[in-house]
Amino acid sequence: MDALFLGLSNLIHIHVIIAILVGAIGGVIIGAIPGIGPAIAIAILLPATIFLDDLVSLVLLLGIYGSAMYGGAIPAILINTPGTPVNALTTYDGYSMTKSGDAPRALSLAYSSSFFGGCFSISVALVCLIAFGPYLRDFGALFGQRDIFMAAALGSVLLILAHRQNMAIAAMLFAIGFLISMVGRQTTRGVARYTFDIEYLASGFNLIVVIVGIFALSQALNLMNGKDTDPPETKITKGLFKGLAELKKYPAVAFISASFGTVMGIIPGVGEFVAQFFSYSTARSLSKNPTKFGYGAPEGLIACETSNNAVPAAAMIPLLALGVPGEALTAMMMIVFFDAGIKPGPDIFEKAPDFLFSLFIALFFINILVVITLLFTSKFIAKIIYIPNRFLGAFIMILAFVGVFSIRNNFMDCAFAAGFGLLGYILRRLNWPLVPIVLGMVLGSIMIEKLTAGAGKIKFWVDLINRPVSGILAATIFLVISITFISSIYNYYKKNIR
Amino acid sequence: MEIKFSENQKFLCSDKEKIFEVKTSSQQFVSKIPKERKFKVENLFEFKRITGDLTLSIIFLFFVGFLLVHFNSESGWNGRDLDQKRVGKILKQQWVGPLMCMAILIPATFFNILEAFKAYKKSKRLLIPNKTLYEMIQWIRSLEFILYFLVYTFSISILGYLISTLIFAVFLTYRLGYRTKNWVLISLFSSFIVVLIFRTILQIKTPINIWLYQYFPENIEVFMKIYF
Amino acid sequence: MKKFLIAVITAFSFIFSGAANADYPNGPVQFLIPWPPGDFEDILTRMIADEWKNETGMPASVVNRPGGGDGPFPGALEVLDAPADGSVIGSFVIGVPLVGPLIDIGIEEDSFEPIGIFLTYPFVLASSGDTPYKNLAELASYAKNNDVVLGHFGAGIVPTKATFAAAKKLGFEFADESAFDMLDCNSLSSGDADVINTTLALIEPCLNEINVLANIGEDRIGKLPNVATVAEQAGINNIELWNGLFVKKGTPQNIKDKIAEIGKKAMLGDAAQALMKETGARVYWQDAEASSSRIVADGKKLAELNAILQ
Repeated sequence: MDALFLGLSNLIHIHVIIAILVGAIGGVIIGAIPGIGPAIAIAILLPATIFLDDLVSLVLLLGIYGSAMYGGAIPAILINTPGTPVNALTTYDGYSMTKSGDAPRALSLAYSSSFFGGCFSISVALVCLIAFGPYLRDFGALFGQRDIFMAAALGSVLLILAHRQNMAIAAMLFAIGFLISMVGRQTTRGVARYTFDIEYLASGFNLIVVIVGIFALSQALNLMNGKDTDPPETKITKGLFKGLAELKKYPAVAFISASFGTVMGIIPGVGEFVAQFFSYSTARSLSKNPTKFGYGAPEGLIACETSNNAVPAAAMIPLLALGVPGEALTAMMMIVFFDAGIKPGPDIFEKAPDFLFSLFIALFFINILVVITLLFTSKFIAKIIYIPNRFLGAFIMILAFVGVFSIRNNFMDCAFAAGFGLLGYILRRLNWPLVPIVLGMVLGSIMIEKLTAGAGKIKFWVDLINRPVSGILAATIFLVISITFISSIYNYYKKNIR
Repeated sequence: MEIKFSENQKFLCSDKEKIFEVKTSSQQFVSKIPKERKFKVENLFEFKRITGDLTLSIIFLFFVGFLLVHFNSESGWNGRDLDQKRVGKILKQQWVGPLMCMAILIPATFFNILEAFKAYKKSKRLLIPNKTLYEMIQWIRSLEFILYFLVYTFSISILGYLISTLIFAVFLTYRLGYRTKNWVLISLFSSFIVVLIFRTILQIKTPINIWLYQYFPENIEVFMKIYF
Repeated sequence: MKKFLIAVITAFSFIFSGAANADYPNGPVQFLIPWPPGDFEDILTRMIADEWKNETGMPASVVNRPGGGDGPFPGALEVLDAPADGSVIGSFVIGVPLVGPLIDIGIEEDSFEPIGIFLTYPFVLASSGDTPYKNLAELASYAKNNDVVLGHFGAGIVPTKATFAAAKKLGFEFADESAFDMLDCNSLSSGDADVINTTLALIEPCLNEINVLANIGEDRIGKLPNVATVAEQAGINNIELWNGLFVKKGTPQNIKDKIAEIGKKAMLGDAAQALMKETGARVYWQDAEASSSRIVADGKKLAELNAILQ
């Protein structure tokens, strides 16, 4: 328990408090502007935060991550444009409420449900830490290299299977990301893959360069090549506190959505979209008037916002416990951990428990700060959402240089980021998913590293799975693949053989 | 029988897309079946293959073929050592990773091409106009902005971070069509704030030897080098 | 915030005093560590940087430049790219001057000049508490009939080579070996390797529950007087993994002397010596000449080890 108080005291430094403020308010603004999402902001800010203290940079990025979805609800509700990709489902119920004149109610409902979802997952995480923390050292002994290899493999399988309708594309992009992460030369281990004797390729592709290219530069190109939308101005009148109490009317929906969000966040490879899908469908089947869903049902709004805000805190758990990130954003935060000299993994509970407490407590404060700020400054933030798209694209391009060059001071990095930007732009136009490339790089490098390190103890093939954890994970992989395979064959027969 | 058309109906004629205005009048078609008011969440997450998909799939096919051709030499497969008693000694070799990638990549690419081809055939059968050329022109149009980005990157080591960022911001906003004085001032101001935050305060790394700064007097040169 | 203020003060001092060729140091100095932060060389180099700021009043920054798969060599190349005026000082391990010239990466035998060697890493061979062997001889007899897997930090670094050479001399072979990024208590308790070759600080938390088989270095570690060195047990030479300050060749002598003066003061000071007692690392100061001759001697020792391994 003293780790809890130590973690709390770590936060009482002026730099950390400034980071919480900037992260929270900045995150809301970044989420509120359609076109910029937390992925782009974190990708650009990541190299800049290397110069700050570890806890400060982590709290800043975590603040942006945790508060972006609050801000993303604002344009989703007011002008039918999601501020971040995960707020897409909010546009339906939220904008319908705006059209019927109830914008402040929708906004406050969105804030309160996001707050509930965030606090739910943070408290689950804190309770787990306090309850299981002392036992985690023994728990850590179960997790060797082969087990984490299996966990990363499970994450990859779940990631590909989650793209139910375009599995081939997701698998292809995942494998390309995997291959990109392996390009390079390691003289200390005598390894050289796909270098083609070119010096630049020998030093490999840096994850941040790829992320800035694929997320930020592609979005910039998308915005600049597109059109400016001129949404009609929506004024927010009084009554912003109305929806806060409305959350109490639907406790079942709130709890179920928050649990879905937390669980989906913990499972690596699955993300906010699946969480929202499940909670929305469940809320609709439990509701008294399901036909209103999509046309202004408050339960729909609650389901979306609660589940997508429960994911960030929960997604930190597999990252911290196993060192396997489940999501593109948490993968970027893993880099900050490495720079701080903290290796996430089973032994983090031994080495730095107060750090973990600081993180989650800071996230809690960020949530509180965001809700209070939003209740009083929504009108001001609602004006920011009208920034024209094409100008935003130019702005992102300027910021992208900041992100790319400061990593390795290398011009070729900028050129390759631009190339990845073009690739990402084409993928966006065709609605192909971008996340598998990034997660392919991250999970792939984890898999290969753990496999090479654990290979010493592998005498026969069965040694890969004859440990408790890796055996369970391997069985899960097999189960998940068979279920998907069987259900797709079943669907095929149902469709074609009547 | 007299056919009535409604007022001011516009028809698209021929492939030149000329618009003829025909004064006709008719009753609007009203269906007897009520509109289904069910909102499907699945529709939000559905995936449809659109124009350009087949092109990109073919490009990826060639790319994978290229990687496959070079697999032998570049991944270390030619130096493989498969007759070891311990499985671990095989798994440690450097070609294991690329082999895993290829094992996923090749079937996925083939399935993807099959699906893309099926979608293409379907769209041809439904006589949906083929806009592949338009799509590829859009892809090539974005190269212009990439060129601007690369020129900006290159000019930083010549003109210094501050000046080249200001010029780039103003130029890009002008190119995008925001040409009033207000917008020029907004772009100048916001890019200056960016330089201030990231270069002066956070001190991110930018190129060290800047050609323009050589021509400044000594003190100002050092100041600019550290802060801008 | 502090960094910003220091930078502002430096800038003003430049503008008003002019960057003329005053005494060294007349500008900010950078200590470059080619490893990620947290390990011994990082802590001690930061102590030197603090001492630098106190002694000279000039800012000294410590930069980590990990090379990932390429080890310390990319960081070393960065020091080589800097001008030879003492503005960038490298904190390098033995591998940089000895192994660097052998691989084709751009480092030559005379690329760097040593200022002083100040740290010996406390490398040990350890195994879990329930193994039947407690020193190298017992390990040898056990390994002849059973599989023993070694975990290390890389096949090319000095302690790993010493371990393999010792195994060869004692007549046994490891069934398999793997390179790890991190070897600590968890590696032993989770069964990733049977014997690990790691620094004492990383297995500190479980020191009471594991067997330390041997110590790789010249002397026994103060905290573990009963653990014999690899040299004693296997009859090979006593090469050890050390870390020292280096500058690019061609740096003027007065600059090197100034750096040596401050480095010696920091390493023989209380904080560094306390670190030595706590962790088992050896912290000392060997001046430039002693360092150069040590590098030459270690070159011969490394060649001996390589000959044994052929």
